Amino acid sequence: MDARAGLAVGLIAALIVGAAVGHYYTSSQQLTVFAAASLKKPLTELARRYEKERGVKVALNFGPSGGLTAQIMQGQRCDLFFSADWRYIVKLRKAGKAARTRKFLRDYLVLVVSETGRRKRIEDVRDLTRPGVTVAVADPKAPVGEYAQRALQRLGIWDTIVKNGNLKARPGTVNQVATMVKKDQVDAGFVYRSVAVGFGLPIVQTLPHSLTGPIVWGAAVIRGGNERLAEDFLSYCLQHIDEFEKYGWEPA
Amino acid sequence: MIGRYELLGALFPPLFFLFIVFPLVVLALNLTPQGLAQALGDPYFWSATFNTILCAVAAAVMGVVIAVGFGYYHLFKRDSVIYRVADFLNDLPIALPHTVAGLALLLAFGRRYFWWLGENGLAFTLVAVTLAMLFVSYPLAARAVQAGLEEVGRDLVEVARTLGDSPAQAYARVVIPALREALLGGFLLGFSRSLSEFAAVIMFGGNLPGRTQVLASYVFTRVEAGDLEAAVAASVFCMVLSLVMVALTRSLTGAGGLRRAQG
Repeated sequence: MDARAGLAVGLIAALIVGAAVGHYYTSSQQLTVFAAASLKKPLTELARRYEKERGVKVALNFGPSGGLTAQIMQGQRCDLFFSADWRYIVKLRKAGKAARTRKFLRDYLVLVVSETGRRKRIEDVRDLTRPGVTVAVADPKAPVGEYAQRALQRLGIWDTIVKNGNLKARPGTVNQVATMVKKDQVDAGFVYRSVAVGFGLPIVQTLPHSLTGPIVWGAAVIRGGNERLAEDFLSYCLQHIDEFEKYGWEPA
Repeated sequence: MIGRYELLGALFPPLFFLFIVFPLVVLALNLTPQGLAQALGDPYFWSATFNTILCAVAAAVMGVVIAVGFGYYHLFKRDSVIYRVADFLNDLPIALPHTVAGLALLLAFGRRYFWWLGENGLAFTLVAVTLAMLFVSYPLAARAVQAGLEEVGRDLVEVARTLGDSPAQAYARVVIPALREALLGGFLLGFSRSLSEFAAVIMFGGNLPGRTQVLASYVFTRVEAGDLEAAVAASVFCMVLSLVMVALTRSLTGAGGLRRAQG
């Protein structure tokens, strides 16, 4: 008797919580935008202006692109998604989650050096093979890590960097690489140009897409969301692309 | 009609199984053969497993050792400034967002102050991984010891003291043996907490596959990349690891309890 009553109370409580959450997510008349964390500054500014001009509430959710993609795949409510990498957009399209996709911004991989790195005269990626130089390259599971590794492999210096023990850290995100360089804990690191600008890190060298592969930011209007409003905000962002250019991106 | 006090007891099973056990079961159910093959076939998975066990055990042991010292202050020097400060600051590492903890450790033990230990100080080594785990898990060990001391009671210490022991002697000969279960509990908590730590470990440890990568950061980078199948497999492995450690500790403490009852 006690156990059964307890079970009933527990189930009812869970149902109420579930229903309330579902109600909250489906009833709100707002645009839900998921975006790569690196887009925070320009996108927040544009969303603020858009809200003021059109009178629509824009809810922004910033996070790592891979994690956000996983959330959308799992059915998390989202109307528009800005990814720091085109591959996640392709993934969503293949899964039938994207109503429309668009290449959005172009970025470049850049070499940044810390104070110590500057004293060690690191002026070119080839200097990273010198003994005693310490480098941070993001984990290859993060796109920025994969681009950097590919570029260094194409230059034929990746194996030397690893063999000499110069590769010290493989942080999970590009911002962690930037933090390590900024705080002078490593000599050099590879980040996106937009991130270097955001962190105020001096750029030593910009690597061309022929070495890294195309680095393209993408946008996807998510199927089943508020597609019309999502399209509208996306074209608003494209009209104000200069806001992104301020931070080192190029229109794609 | 059930009474007010029975309600809590009756609520426990559904709440516990729904909110705590259900997600774990779902995680295990999402295990796929492909994900398992992917993880188990990856040499980096195995080096991550090795690093995890090594560093988590080291961190948990260090945590307990420091906690035992804290226990001495708790028992004999409760009015000292050191004890008050330590007691006050104990839980801080738990409250700190862990990427910040990683950054704090990197700045503290990186090459700015520890340049004389190597080109990156202590950072980006297995020592760094251990220190990151220690930083986040020590509070649990300290609280376990504190709770254990409340149980042991002061009487035992008083008896030892009247028999002529100095505080340190009484602590080492009487209190610590009696704290056995609390120490094992603290070790277990610290170990499990260390298994799950990734943020501080990535930032300070370096997350270099084959060198300083641990299971939690292995899982984290895979979830980040949307590579869920291998991530689920590695996570289930983590759970199993933690369960094995619980079972091991349970059997050890169980045996200890038995021996004491017989003696």
